[in-house]
Amino acid sequence: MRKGFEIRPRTSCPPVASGCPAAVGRLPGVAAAFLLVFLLALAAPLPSSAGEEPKDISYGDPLEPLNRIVFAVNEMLDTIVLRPAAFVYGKVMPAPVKRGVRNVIRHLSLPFTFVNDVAQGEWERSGDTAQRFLLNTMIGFVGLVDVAEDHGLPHRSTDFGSTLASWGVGEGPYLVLPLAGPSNVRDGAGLIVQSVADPVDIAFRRADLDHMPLVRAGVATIDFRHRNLDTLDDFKANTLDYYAFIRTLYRQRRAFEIDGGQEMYLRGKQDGEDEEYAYPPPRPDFSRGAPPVETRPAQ
Amino acid sequence: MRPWFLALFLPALLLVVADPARADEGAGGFIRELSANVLPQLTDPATPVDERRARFREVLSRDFDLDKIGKLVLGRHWRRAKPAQRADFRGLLENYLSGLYTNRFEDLAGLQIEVDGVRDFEGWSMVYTTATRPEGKPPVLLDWRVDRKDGGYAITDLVIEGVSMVIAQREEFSAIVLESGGLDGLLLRLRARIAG
Repeated sequence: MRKGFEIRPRTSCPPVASGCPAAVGRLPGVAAAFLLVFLLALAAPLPSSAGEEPKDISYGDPLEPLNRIVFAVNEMLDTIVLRPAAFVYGKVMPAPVKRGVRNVIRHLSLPFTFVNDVAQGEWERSGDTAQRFLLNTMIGFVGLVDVAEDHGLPHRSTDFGSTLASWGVGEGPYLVLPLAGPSNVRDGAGLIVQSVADPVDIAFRRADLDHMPLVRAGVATIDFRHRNLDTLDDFKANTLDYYAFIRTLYRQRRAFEIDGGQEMYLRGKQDGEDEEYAYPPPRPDFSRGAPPVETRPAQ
Repeated sequence: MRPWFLALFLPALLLVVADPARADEGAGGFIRELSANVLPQLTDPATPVDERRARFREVLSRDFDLDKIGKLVLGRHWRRAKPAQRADFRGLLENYLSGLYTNRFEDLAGLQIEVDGVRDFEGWSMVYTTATRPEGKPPVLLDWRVDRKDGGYAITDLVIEGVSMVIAQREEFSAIVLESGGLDGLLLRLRARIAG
């Protein structure tokens, strides 16, 4: 097993060296709109070269040469800026401070999580998110202490990429975004929407705290990088192709978060290139009464 | 039937039926047995690293199906590979995996694995488990692909929270095959990595 794998309840951060969706921070509206159009154009199906024998598949990454360049630049920035900062943060800050920082960062993500829960039609989850936010705001010193967790309301997150997925938008080509790291066309569009629609950032700007969204994004990025320091060091040292490994990690994790890997599995079966095992079959939902054993071969 | 025969036969029959690995528990029983009896041998931090490595090699060749894993990991490249390349890859993969995973077992100490369910597919099964960890860390979903091997069972993939090790390895190896212009490039890289 790969060491650590930093398995935890979903965060909106991709498991990446070079950051967190929040790192996109605040884009001017016009630039955001422009990027959105650009990304949607990319998402449009490429003209297919019919009749040609399919070449070696790209694992959802037709823009690989470009992505590898952006990945290398991100890696360089990570090595000289982000990783050292996260390392010092981990060494200097006492554990209770780090816990508090993490709690506040997660707390501030809840209003936008709530928006997404509603947009996805997840009523029960949106209720939990709202309760958690109110409880930790009032009793937990504005999120510094996670009281809600002890009341059966653990942290959960979702993002606009997941919302787009729930509306039927496919992942589109894999993309490595400058600074923000591994993504895809759909999730990249989600980040752009988040950068203009996050209620907390909007509130900050209304209160003339224009620098706060950036500070928030920076702290979230350092916290994320700090928590994954050992894991990512291990991956980097032990993989033969770090880029390809991070890509498959991102794509598999996202597929799992979004629909338990259902769509990826069905698509893999259709392509048929990797025979019986293009992608493992999705896990039945045992907590909702799927029978423990079914003896007849599943489809 | 003579009494002395019964005296021998009945206990033997009971033994066979009572042994969970051999009784009708199938792939789920295999994983349950493995996590209860084999995993603790690999994770004990008190055992010297050399001995743990030797134990893991033993487990890798007995409880994993490396021929099948090699085939799944190479995917489309397997079909195009020459017999000599396949054999070469099989040997390199074993060395590569034992080097890669031995040091990671410390992280698995104290893991308790519960089988949630089993699904049969054509010729293989998925065993879905939840691993609880000490110190209040959140539980981890582990899915095991299990194939038949030599009349018993063998692991052919491990899916950790939705991330398949076989698929991850396949995509990584595939990138190297493409970059180096063929399977021989991958074999070369693996050989170099194993040599350290």
